[in-house]
This record gives sequence, structure tokens and C-alpha cells, in this order.
Amino acid sequence: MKTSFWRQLGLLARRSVVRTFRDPGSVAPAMLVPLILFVLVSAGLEKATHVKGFPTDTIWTFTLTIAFANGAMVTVANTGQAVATDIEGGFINRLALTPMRSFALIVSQLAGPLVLGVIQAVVFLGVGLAAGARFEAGPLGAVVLVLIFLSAVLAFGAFGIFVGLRTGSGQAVQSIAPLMTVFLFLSSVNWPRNLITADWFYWVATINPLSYLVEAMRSLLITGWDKEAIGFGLAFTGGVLVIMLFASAWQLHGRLVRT
Amino acid sequence: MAEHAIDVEGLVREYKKGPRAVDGVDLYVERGEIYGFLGPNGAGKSTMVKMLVTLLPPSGGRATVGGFDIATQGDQVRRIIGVALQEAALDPLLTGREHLYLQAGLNGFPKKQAKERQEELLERVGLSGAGDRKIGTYSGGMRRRLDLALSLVHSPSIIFLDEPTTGLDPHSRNALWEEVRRLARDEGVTIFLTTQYLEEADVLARRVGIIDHGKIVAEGTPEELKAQIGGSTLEVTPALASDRERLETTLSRFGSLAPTSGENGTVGVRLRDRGAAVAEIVRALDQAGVEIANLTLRSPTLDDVFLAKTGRALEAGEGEPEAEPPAGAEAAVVEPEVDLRMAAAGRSKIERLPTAMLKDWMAERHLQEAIESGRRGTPALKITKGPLAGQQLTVKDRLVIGREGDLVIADPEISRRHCVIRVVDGTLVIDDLQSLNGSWINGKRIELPTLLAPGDVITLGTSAIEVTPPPAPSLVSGPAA
Amino acid sequence: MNAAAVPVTSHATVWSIARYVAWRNLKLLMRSPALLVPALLLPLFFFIAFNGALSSLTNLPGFGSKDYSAFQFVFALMQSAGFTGAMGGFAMSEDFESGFMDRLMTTASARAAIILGYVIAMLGRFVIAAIVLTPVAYAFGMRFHGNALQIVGLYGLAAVLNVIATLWATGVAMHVRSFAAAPGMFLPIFLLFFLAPVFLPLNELTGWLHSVAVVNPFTRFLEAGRGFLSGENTDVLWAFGAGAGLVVLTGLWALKGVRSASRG
Repeated sequence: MKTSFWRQLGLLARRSVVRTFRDPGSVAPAMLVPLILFVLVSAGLEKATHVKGFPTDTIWTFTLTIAFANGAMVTVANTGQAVATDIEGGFINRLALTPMRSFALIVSQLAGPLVLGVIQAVVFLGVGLAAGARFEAGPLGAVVLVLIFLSAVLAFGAFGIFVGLRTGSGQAVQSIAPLMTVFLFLSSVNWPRNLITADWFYWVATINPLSYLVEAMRSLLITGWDKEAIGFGLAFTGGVLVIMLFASAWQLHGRLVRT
Repeated sequence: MAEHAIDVEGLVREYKKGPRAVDGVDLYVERGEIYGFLGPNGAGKSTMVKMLVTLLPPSGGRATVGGFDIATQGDQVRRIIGVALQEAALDPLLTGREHLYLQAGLNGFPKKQAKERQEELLERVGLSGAGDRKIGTYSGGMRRRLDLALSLVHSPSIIFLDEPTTGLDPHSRNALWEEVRRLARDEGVTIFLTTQYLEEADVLARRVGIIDHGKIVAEGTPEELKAQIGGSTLEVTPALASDRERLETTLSRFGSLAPTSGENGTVGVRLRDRGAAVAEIVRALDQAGVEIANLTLRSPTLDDVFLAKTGRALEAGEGEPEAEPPAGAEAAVVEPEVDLRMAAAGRSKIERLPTAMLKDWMAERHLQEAIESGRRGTPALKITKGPLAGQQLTVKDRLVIGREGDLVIADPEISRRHCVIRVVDGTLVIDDLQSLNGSWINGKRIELPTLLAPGDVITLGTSAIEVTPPPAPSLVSGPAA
Repeated sequence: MNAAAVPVTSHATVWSIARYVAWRNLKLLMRSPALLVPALLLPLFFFIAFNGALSSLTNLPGFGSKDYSAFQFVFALMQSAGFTGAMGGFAMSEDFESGFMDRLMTTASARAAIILGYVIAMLGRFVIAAIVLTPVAYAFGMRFHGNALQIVGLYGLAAVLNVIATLWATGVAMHVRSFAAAPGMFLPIFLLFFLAPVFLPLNELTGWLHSVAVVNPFTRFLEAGRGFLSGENTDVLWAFGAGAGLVVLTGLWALKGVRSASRG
């Protein structure tokens, strides 16, 4: 009997969703860590809005993107760990012995993080709005921010899949995942780029593509409809997603040496 | 070639810079037959299976499964085979039902039929009641049964079972054997079964292929193979160890000497004439003045076949560490107090108790010296008591060393096991091997009774210890001599 | 396991046991320098990120000092001290899980000495972390404005914090005796650090965070440390007073843990 690509995708996606929500190690950090960061940084920097040139007078409006950006990055560990576990436990061999198509396996791994991402977005938005964050772009801006966030979830999820397939080790994934937070903090996530006075850090933040993801989301909160910023953000996540999906397919091909 | 379910001609698998794991194997398996592929750890069994199920491309030779070439028609092969690999690869977060549904769906079953198949197979392997439990809560036997059910989802005509009963208790093992028999008998399924248990091959398989160092060394029905060996083996233990030489001389008149454990001066002889000579031997020994403490007559076993073909006992294989120590089946019980004599040593987590070591800070230098000694390749440990007395343990890569009172602990980052070194009769021993019970070794849980066999790899934390055969067995003449 | 196989004598003194435990933990560090990474890399990373991004905060009228590198270095140093202490708890949990602690508990006549051993070891680890952290911060623009005594005061204060964190974490480890306790050791320390004046001085904090930071003893450490580094003696008595108090409290907590572990 033959199975269509979409049926395979559906079955494996269902598995990804079930696994994600049965693993407390996936859900709790994805919800709590971004929120804790958001609350602590916002409270600590409240008076930063008094700095001349600061783009908003409500710190929560500025810092809400911290929760979203960090929340998206947690996906690297989630998808990477899921793939590594399948490799370490031999489950990938079981799948390889079925008529499963490799690409269905890769894409399906994003289903769990995507569903989790929707829940994350609702919670982050709820907490952010309750704390005092406001959208210059209005309610539709909030929807677009969620869409950019979900595109980031997919992009980082695909990166996690690539790392998982490349290393085949959960330990390796867990040691790489925190580096993502390092990259995030080396972007303009904590401070507007135009107000960064340290030249070296301005340079680092400018070449760090995560700055553009953060600025795309932040523009909807602070500036309104900044097509250029949104475009850069989506180009970054879209580019990473496509590159990582193909890189993962290549990695999986090497790992599944079935004849 | 296609007349048989499986046809293999000169199959080779070479690893980069490594030995040939499979070295020109020829075999065939008839349709509806249970074929036992027997061999010690590292003989090449799993590599062979992985090639036949298309998970590993062969380096040479050719093979067909169900008439399809494994190298060029992988898709077709996979459609007609079911596979239960050595590691029961299951997702701990999914339930048994979800596994079967996923497997059925990926194999093209529509939703309704997938559900029906899922229930049917759960029922068949006796997991209906546990179908909604996550795999993480399953016992080893339940996992194996689910694994078998998963391999049956698409009603394959050929099933590959790679060491299916390793780690199972006798009850679960018998249940699995019965299901395997039923599949072959009632459904005409061809079964290719790898095992390192003689009993399993003997009981289940119509024909047996024995592999050693990647080559088939014997093939045939168990009866044919045993018949090749000839008569039974008589083992005699003298009352006085000093009588051993006379015992050997006397026994050699009745057949070729056969290796035994050598314990208490035991000598074995493979009888030319089955059984009939026993009375004659007893009389001859009496005449020679050899007092007998114990006398055992054994029928030939597949182990004897292996011994005859390779000059080693089945458990004495070496090579790629592809399998783990057997648990349960026909394994001699390792006594809790098996002693391991430490001759040289190396690095592991050696924790020194204050009472023992605070007095002697120079111990660190001693440790370093011994590590160097261990690295030079000196055999590290020797079993001095118990059923495996005389065998040596060579510590690979990371070595174990210690002094009296040292606590040899498994790497706390990896394992939870530990044992204590103490001095017995002036030699260092690792006390309480029982503490290995329940350890995870190369991904397999060790459950006593466990037989430590040459070729097995045990792990104390990060220390991999390989059991090697004694360098010079007390009896060197093979049965064919 | 046959415990009777181990010769048990009672010659070991408090000091010899503590020395043994400390030696063993430092030895483990030499074998696996990666053990230092969490306590070194995280503070270092926060230092670089905060120092680079937020230095224009010194433009706020109430900020005082214009040396944001020095301001953030104190936070990094204190974090390193605290996280190293938490690692002591991690190490002890691992020893419980491996069974080593059980054996140590049965052989050590003075069990409190085990805690002392961990405290010494973690102080040693913190010294190594500080030796790495300081020149890196210097390279990123941090400068000492205080005198030698004040510098000693700064590092001394961090050492006291290290002892407090170790006592806290080993106390948790003794109570729970499983690695599952790791978040319980680390999170309170982490939260205490970030509920303090991290980005801005105390007087520039507002709202609920200001209220929390005022009563947060870690604020005293930060303020005094920043005072030492900038050459002004701020909050010194408060900080050392809070330090002494916390050493006593966490020490009692750790001893309670020893008693709990002894009961099994």
C-alpha cells in the first residue's frame, strides 16, 4: 500500500505535537524563560525610557520582543533534541524501514513547535498587553507580529533539526542551544541600535541578523507599519527556514543510508 | 536465486580502516523457514541483518530478499519485510497504540484499517491492556513484544529478528518463541533470527548458520551439525589434582581430548563411541589408579559445533562489540562474589575514602604509574573465583585501577554504580560485582543471572572492560585432534 | 553492595575530611575544566552583552558613575561567585546519585566537614573564575578606581557571596539528595541576582523592582562592590553585615541538611 506525502506528513506531524506536549522539558522552558526575561529586563530598564532618543515612553512596549525572540529560540533545543533522541534510540531506523519520505519526516518535526508557538504567542501577548505594551500598528500589527514570530519558530526549529541530524546527539544539541541566547543578547534586543554608544557592539548588533528579526517585530509595536523592517525580518526567517530545510534533507540523506 | 526467500552470495561489509565485519557470506533461507543465525558478540550478525534489511549498503557480493536485490531494489525489499532490530527502537513518549497506528499509517493503511490492525496486533502480543500506556513505562519484555507487533503491521512475508530475546526473562522469552513458531507454522512467514543463545537456535530454527569473524563456519540443521561432531563428551574430575596427567593419558585412548573449564583438574574426552565406552573408561581409570571425584556425560551441543569449527567456545568470540552480555537464557549465574584480580590498571573514577587514603597522599603517584602500566596493554583484571575462573579482563581505552579501600565508582555523569576494591589473600579484588545488576551496558540493562563471557564488554561508568579468553587454556587439543 | 568490605576507621579529623573533599573536587575540575564554564561563561556573556548594549544608560542624570564597564563588572564578578557556589550543590547531588556521598557519610565521623570541603573547593573554583574574568573585563574597558584595600574588599565580598551560595546549594543537595534539586539550587540565586540593581543603580530603579531590590540582600553586595571599584565606600557595613548574617543562616541550613541526610 502506498501512502501519500500529505498523509505521512499528517501522521508524523501528529506525533510531533503529541511528543512536544508530553515532554515537560519542551513546554515549561518555552513558556517560562521568555516571560521571566521579559519581566526582569523590563523592570530593570524602566527608567531607560528617560534616555534621550529612546523610541517609546513605555518600556514594556520596547521589551515585549525579548519574550518573542527568546521564545522562538527555545525551539532550537526542542526540535534538535527530538531528532537526536530518534537517532540515539534507533527510532529513525524504524521510520526508515517504512515507505516514509524523508522530507515528510523533516517538515513534520516543526508541527509540535508550531502549535506550541501559537500558545506561546497568546500568552506573551496577553502578559505584554496587561503589563502596558501597546501596538503602534494596531490589532492587525499584533497579528503580523505573531506571524513573524511563528516564522521565526519555524526557522529556528529547522535549524534545530539540522543540528540534531548533524550531531545525532542530544548532549550536543543542549550545548549548542544556549549559544542562541548569546547571539540574541548580542543583537539590538535590549537596546535600540541607534542608541548603542560602544562602536564594537554597534557593529556586532548590525551584522547580527537577529537584530533584524527583533526590529521587525518591534517596529509594529513602536513605529507602526515599517515595510522595510518587516521585510528584513521575514527575509531572515524565510531564508533560514529554506536553507535549513534543505540542509536537513541533505543531512538526513546521509544518515539514512538505506539502499 | 529467487526461489528462496533469502539468497546471499559472497556478501561483504567492510568498515573504513576496520576489519571485514561480514566477509564473503553465502547462505539461503527457504520460504517459511526459521533460520537461526548464530554467533558470538561481534561475529557480524547485526551487520548482516542491517544489510539484508537495506539499512546498510553492502561493500561487495549480492543478496536478494523475496527476490529483490537489497542493493538496488531497497523499496521493494522494505515492502515485504518486517524488522525488529536489536535495540527495540521505540519512542518513550508515545503509547503502544500510537506506535502501531503510526506504523500502520506510514505503511499505507487507511485510518479505519489502521485502527483495526492496531487492535488486532495489540491483542496478539498481549498488550491490549497496556496499549494506552507510554512506552517509558513498559518492561523490557513488553517492549520486545510491541517491537514484534510493529514488525508485523504490514503482514510481511519475511521477518528479521535481531537477538529478539536478549534481556528477557524466561517467561517473556518463551512467549516470544511461541509467537515466532506460530508465525512460521500458521502463516508461512520466513524468519531470519540472529541469536547468541545456543538454546534459542536449537529450539526454534530449522536450519542454523554459525558465523564467526564475519564468515559462515558451519551450516545445516542442528541435528546435522551435532552429528558432525561425533560422540558425546565425558568430563572427569579427579579426586586428586596430581592425577590429572594420568587421567589425560587414560582418557586419550577413548577419543580426542576436549576443552573444559579446567577447574579442579577436570579433563574432557570426546568419545568415538557414544556412551558405550563409559563403563570401559571407569574400569581403565580404576586400573590406572585414578580416583574419580565427578563424572559427567554430555551430548553434543551447538557450542561443541562452534568449538569444533573455530577451536573456541561460542562465548569466546571477539570483534565488533555489537551485542551485550546475555541475560537469562542458559547463562550461568555470576556469583555475587566473582573476584577480579587486578594486575595492572588505568583510569576510571577512583574515589578514595578518607580513612584509607588520607594517610597516604603519595597514592596519586602510584595511580599515575599504574595508569601508564595499563596503557602499555598489560591485561588488567583476572577472574579468580567462580564459574569463569581463569579468564582475564582486558580493560579497553579507559582502565580501572585502585588500591584497597578505593571506591571504584561509575562516572557520576553517566551511571550510578560503584563497587569497592579490597584485598583478599594479598591480591586486589573488585568486590561485589552484583552492583552491576541493573546497570545499563551499551544501551542494554544488565540483569543477573548474567554470564560474563569472553567478548562481552562490561562497563563500570566510563570504563569499558572487555572479557577475553584465558591466554593459555589448560586443554589445547580440539575435538578434531 | 557489601559495606563491610570497606575498612572503616575513625582517624579522620574534620580538617582531613574537608581537605580530602576539597582536593577531590579541585581534582575533578582539573580533569574536566568544562565544569567551570557555566560559572564563567554566563557572567562573562552577560557582562559583554550588557556593557556593550547599555552603556548609554550612564547618560541618565541620576546614574552617577560614567564607567558602565566597572558597573557591570561587579555584577559579573558577583554572579560568578554565586554560580560557582551553586555548582557546589550540583557536584554534591552527583555524588549522592553515584553513591559516593553515602559512603562518605558513613565513613566521615564529622559530617559537617564534608560541607566545609565543598566550601573550600568552590572558593578555589571561584578564584580561578575571577582570575579569568578580571582581565577580560579589563580588556572591555573596566578600570579600578579604588585603592588596594577597596579592591581586596571587592573580591572579599564576592568570596563571602560564594560561601553563602555554596552553603545554600549544598544544603539543598543534602536535603534532596538527587540531581532533581538542581533548579532549586540555581533558580533562587539567579532570581536574587536579577531582582537587584542590574542595569541601573538602586536609586534609578522604579516600581515593584525597586521595592524588592531595597530588601534584597544581594543589592547590598552590588552597591558595596560598585562602591569599592569606584573608590567610594558605599554600604560596606551593610554588605558585610548582610554577608555574615547570610553565612550563619545558610550555614545552619546546610547543617540541617547534613542532619537530614544522616537520617536518610
